[in-house]
Amino acid sequence: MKNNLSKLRAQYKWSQAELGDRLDVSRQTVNAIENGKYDPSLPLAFRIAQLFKQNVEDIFTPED
Amino acid sequence: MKLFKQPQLSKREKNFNKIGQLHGMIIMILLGAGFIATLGGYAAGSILTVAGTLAIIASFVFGHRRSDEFQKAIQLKAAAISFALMMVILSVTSMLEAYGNFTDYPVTTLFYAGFLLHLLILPHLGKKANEK
Repeated sequence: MKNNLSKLRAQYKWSQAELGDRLDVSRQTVNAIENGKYDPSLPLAFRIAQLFKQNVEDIFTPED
Repeated sequence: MKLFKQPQLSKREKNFNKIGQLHGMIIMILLGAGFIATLGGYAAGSILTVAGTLAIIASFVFGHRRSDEFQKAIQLKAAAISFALMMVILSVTSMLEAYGNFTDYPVTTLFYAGFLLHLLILPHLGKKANEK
């Protein structure tokens, strides 16, 4: 699963730790999602989308 | 009557000795060595082993409850790998015991080995997942 979380985070000028605090997850989790090492659960994906005021499919796209 | 004059130890040296004794006791428990072969000794050894085991389980459970979903995932992965490795160790030690090469290994030692494996594998998985 690809995502543009790091770009969105850069737009908001948030650090990984700051985004983690807002999503109620650890900095390691944000880093793992950004690097594509971990796919978030559906509730967390929706929390991310809600935070950036976007649709889930605009942030996360399936890898071909 | 004391045959040899006891050296005067400083407070620091006494504390160091106490820590040394404590470490020795912990290593004894980890290796599954029994206490003095008396009923009281066995009881003390059993109580300490049960307490240690419960403390390890509690640390895992509380740690797991406080973690977020990604941390929970890598904790379960580390637990699965250490369990698999423990099974390998168990089969090898059982085989060695059957051939008479290795006797009297305690299950407690195996359990602690699993705990140590878990502690070694967990940071490795976390680091691997955070690599670019």
